[in-house]
Amino acid sequence: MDLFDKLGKELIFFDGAMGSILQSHGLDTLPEIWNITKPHIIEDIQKGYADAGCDIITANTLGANRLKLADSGYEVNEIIEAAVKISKSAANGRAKVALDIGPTGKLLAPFGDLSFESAVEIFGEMARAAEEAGADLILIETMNDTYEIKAAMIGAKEYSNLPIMVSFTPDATGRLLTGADILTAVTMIESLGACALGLNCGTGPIQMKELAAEVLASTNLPVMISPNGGLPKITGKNTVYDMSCEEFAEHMVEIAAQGVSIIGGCCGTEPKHIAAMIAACNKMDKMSIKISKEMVTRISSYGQTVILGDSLAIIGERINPTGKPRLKQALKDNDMEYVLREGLAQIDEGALLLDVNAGMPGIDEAKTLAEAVFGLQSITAVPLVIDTANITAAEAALRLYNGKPLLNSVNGKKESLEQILPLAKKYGAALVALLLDDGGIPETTGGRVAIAEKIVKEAAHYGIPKEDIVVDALTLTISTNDNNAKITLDTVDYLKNQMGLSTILGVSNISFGLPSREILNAGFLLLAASRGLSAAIVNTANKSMMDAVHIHNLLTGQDENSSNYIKVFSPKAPDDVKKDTSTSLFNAILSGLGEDARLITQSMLKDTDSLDIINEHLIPSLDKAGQDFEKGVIFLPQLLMSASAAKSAFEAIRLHMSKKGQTTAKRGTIVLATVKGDIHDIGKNIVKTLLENYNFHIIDLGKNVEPDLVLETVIKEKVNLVGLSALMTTTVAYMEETIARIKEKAPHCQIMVGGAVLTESYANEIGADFYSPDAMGAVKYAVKVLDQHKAKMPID
Amino acid sequence: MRLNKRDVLDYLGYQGKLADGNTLAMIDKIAEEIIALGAPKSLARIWDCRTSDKMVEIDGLTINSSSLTKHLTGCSRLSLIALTLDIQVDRLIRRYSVADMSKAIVADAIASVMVDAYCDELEMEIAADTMVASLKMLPRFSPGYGDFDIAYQKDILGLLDAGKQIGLTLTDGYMLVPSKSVTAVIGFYSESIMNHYIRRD
Repeated sequence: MDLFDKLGKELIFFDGAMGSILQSHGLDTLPEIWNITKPHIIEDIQKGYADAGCDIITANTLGANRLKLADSGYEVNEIIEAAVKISKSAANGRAKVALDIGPTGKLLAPFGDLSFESAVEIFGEMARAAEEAGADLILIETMNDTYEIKAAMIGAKEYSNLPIMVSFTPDATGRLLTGADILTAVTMIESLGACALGLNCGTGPIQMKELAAEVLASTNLPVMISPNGGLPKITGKNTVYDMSCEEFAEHMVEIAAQGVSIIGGCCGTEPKHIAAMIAACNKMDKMSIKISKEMVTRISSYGQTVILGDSLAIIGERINPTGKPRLKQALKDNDMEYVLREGLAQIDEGALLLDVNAGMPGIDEAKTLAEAVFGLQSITAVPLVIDTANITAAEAALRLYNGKPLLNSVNGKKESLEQILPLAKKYGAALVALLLDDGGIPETTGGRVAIAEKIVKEAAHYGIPKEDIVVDALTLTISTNDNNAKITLDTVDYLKNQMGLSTILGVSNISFGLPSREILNAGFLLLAASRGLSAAIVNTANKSMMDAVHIHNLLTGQDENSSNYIKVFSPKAPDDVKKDTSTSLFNAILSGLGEDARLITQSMLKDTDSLDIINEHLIPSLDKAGQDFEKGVIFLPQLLMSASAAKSAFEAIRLHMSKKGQTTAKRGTIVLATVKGDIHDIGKNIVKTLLENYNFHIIDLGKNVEPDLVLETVIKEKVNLVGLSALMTTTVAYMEETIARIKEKAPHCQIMVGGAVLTESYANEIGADFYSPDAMGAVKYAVKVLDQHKAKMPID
Repeated sequence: MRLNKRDVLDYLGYQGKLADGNTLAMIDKIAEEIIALGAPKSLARIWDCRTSDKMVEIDGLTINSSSLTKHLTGCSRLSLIALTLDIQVDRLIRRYSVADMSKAIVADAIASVMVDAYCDELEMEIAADTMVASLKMLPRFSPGYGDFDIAYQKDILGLLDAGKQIGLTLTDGYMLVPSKSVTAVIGFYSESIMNHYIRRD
């Protein structure tokens, strides 16, 4: 029987270690180089594994990526070709050969400097070389970051057609280094289409049993387990694993008996361990492997998984520009921070998932949606719902997403099914399915259910299981048809209770055209929840709606000891800090009271011009805070608390103006960037916060920014002032390059610089116009340069 | 972990002056949050070392640095250490940079002070190791001090297998990721032998 037919039916044996055996042969270079220089040693070890009875031999390619081989003098292709050739010769038809892919050793952006796309290419290059060399499958192993796993899986899928197995390495508590628990890692790997998944390395077989049980409980895929040969003992400069072959074999039998499909060894195991393991397992009863769990809908991020089940999951709806002029303005200005703050606010209000939609005319939706998704997943573990009708935007966001997202949406139209289903399959997304097709929205429950059945069936053709379909039964306003609520509710009931599908609704349509909409919406939500609704897309700031959710959870036995209900509905003690709108805006800002500043500004806006508020209240208070800071009366945290309060006041003004279709006039535009190579941007962010308060328009290019991008932005946006930061001597070189580029092509533009390693003379030396030791200095310089520039236009 | 608030305030530029109640309360709250993200991860290993003119050698690594050589004068052993706070701390600081910059700088300062404090704790553990318990320990010396090139971080992380063991990595520009991390060399010398040298620390 072919290996892939046996998978999940019979026990399959992987080989053991390579690297730790090479160490004992006196390895003095990268292990992969021995594929070229000492092939006989590699082949001897692998023959040992084939002789022991392994079904799969792992080629000696764990670190054969272009980053690790950079200074070796060897190409990825030649190393992998040699490695696969050796393994095939050692296997001699007795075993399959797997390309071994390990971590790059770099952390992906935004925290590290390796971009997701570079990682995809790096892994893809390995996969292509392996397929060309005749490997049978790809093993992605020893991974400790979900994002890198995703890059490797996408790379493997795009550059080859080989089956993929994925094995990761959690710590003793079951967490990956970048935050995922086992369920979360498994959820993503499963959805991206691995044919088996599991754990390797990190610990010995005894410790791995419990972790293996956790993997088994969270997947229906065949599970693979390859522990180390015990726990390492460091004696002098050597690392020794001293578990005996017999003991190793004994524990591996127990692991296999848990229901594991594929077993092998990692560091410290040798052919003799694997031979003992196989001999012991061959004596086992064959019936251990069981794969028959009922699966549920799971949506995940880098760090957590939301299961759609009996309790009602709340999806925050506010990152959607439709009908929201302030968000539209922010998206147009590429003000991603506003978008991210909207996300954080909804999480505070109780959102379990966030819907992200950037669909509006006049912007590059794909770029904006991808940036929003990337930004949000950098600051929160709340999983995202990628909401777009634009297929390019959907792909851009799905690709960058770190986890298993929910894609909103597919519907029953042929075109939608053909476009969306393959995309969801490739990127491992669950889907919102809208019950409409070319005939529109059916007016009967039967009609809607029929579309659900069609979508589920089509999805299955693409290998998308029904638990990954979350059906939206659609809400139509009750004012046009007395039966509209009933049709929707009956559909939800049928989908959930007859078809076993998860469901989702946006409920607010129900009240369109009627008074007291909030009460009606909340009532409808409660009814839908009682019929089995799994998730609702709501405005989490809407109290009636959130009250309904709390009540639902209490009355359906999901609020232990009524504790959440009591917490939410008990009379509140007055806030420690009284919201005092009688104080002046000036004082509220100086005291760093953001909520007060916002409320005062709101009431001032009733009879005061917004520019007057800015010029006569906001700016003077910031000036005072700035002066106090310079005198050493207040310190950086207080200065920034004032800045933050001023930001709240500004936000009230912007909201007020966007409702009237106006925008605030800005004082001038400044480009800020932390230079290429540099990933520490806190200093730049402080400067940005203060400059924004002085009503400058900031184009924040972020960190690790290419010199050319700074220059392009300066030219395109006709910018007269650039601020650059660098923290390290190694990156000041890029600062110098960036300055030279700008001075050559856009000499009108002034450049100010700052950062830990800079001094005034150093700044002069690299051609900067101004060095600021702190953020206030940057503000003063900006005021000087840009207010002076106001009269004259920049030179094109 | 007992956080020294004075250190945090100094990091924030208070220069020995008193802080207001809001700031102190913020420090307490954020420190709790950071501690809840988990203990730091660290690695330390001890090597025999040879120091000569401008060069320090251990098995598998030669460091050319007159600052380090001077610092390690007379040392017979050294320990390489690597310590990192969880990447979740970077994420927290990033979240605060969006939500409230004052909290971001306070979190940044707390995390920096914590890394130092955790390194102090790690030093105490290393000092108790039987390989060096009879020796005197010098203060830790990190790449970037004097002419000790930060590129050596790559070798230190490599010798400790820090990428795999504790997830500590480098960028192309030799910045440590997670950002709240330290690599350092700690020298050990025997007092009796040291009489042959004139130490100038």
